[in-house]
Amino acid sequence: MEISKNKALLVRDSARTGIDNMRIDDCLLQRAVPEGPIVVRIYRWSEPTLSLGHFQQIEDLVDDPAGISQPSLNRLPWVRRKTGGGAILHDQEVTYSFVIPASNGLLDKGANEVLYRAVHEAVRDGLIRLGLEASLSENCTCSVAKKSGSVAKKSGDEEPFLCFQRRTPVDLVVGAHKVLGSAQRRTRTGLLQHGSLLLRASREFGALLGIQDIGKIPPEFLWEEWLIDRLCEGLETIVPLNYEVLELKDFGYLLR
Amino acid sequence: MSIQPEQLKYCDSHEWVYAPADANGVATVGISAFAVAELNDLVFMALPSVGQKLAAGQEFGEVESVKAVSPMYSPVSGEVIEVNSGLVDRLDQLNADPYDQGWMMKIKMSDPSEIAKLMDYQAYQKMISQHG
Repeated sequence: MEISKNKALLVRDSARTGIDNMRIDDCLLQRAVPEGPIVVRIYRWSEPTLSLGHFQQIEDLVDDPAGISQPSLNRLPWVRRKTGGGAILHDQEVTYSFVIPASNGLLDKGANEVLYRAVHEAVRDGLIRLGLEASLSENCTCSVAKKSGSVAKKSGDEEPFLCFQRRTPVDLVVGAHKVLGSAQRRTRTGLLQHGSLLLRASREFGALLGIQDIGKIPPEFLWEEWLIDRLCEGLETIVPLNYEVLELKDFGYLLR
Repeated sequence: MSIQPEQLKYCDSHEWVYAPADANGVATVGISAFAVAELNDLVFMALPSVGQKLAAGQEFGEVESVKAVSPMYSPVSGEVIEVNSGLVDRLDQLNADPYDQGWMMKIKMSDPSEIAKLMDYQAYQKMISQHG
C-alpha cells in the first residue's frame, strides 16, 4: 500500500442517522485527492440502525435465523453501505472509518488485507492491555457464492445475514464473541475502510455481546478516544503519520 | 472464441479489451489475470444491462471479495450489446480462464480510436511487474 503523504486528519464526529453516516463516509472517499491527507473519522448512530453490505437485500433478513429469532430487526431503519460483508446492527458501538487517497491506479481492486490486519491487531493489543482475551478469529464462514440474474448472490442459508455472526480470519474476537469487524470499498480516488467496535449487546438483538458485557471495564470508559489511539497505532505500522485534529464542520462540503 | 492475453489491450485499472478488425466495432471486455489474483475469493459480481451506454473510464460493474467492493471500468465508449450473464453463476470461471470464458460484456464502440490509447500486452506486463 503506497501512502503518498504522511498527514492524517482526525475527526471525532457526533451521532448521526444511518443515511448521513454513510453519506459522509462516501463523500470522504469521493473527495479524496492524490497526495491528500488520510482522514480518520470516529462516530456513532443516533438510533439503532441496520447497515446492509453493498450486495445484500433487506428481504433476505426475513428467512435468516437472525430475522426469525428477532423480528424487530425488520422494523429498524436501514441503510446500504458502499462496502461489502454482512449487515451490522449499529447500536451500542463505536464506529470508525478512514479514507486513504489513491496514489496510483494499480491497487484499486480487491481487499487490502494489510490494512484490515493492522487495525485489528492494534485493537486486539489494546483490549489485551485492558485485560480481555482478544485474538484474531483465524476462522472463516465464507460461503460458496450462489447467484441469480446479473448479480451474484450468496445463499442466505450458507452464511448468516449479520456481520457479527460471520467470521473472517482477521475479525477480532473475545472468546467466542466477535467484537470488531471491518469492510472496504475501493475507487479511483482511494480506499475507504470502516468498522464497528461492539461495546454492549443491543436490546434489538441480545445474542451479540460487546466488550463491556464480557470484560470488567468502567462504564464511563472513553471508547472514542481509545479507538482513535488504536487506529493511529495500526496505521503507523504502515506509515508514520502527523496528526491534525478537526471537527466535521471543517469539512463543510460533507454537510451540505 | 479463443482470446489470448497477448492479443488484448489493457487499462491501468486492469480491464482488458479485445477488438479485432473483423469484429465490426464490437469490443469484448474483461479483467486481467493479475486483477483476478488481486481480487481473491470473489463472492459477488454485478454486471451492466444490455443497452446501457458507457463512456470510456466509466464504471460498468462491481465485485466483492473479502468484504471489499471494487469497481470495474469500461476501457471504451459505446453501448452494451451482450453480457456474459452465465459468469455471475460461475465466478470460479474467472480464476480458471479470465480471458476467454471470463469475458464480461461486449460493447458496440462509439469511438474505436480509443483502443489506440490503451496499453498493449508488453506495456501492461511491464506496469504490473514494476508495481506488483
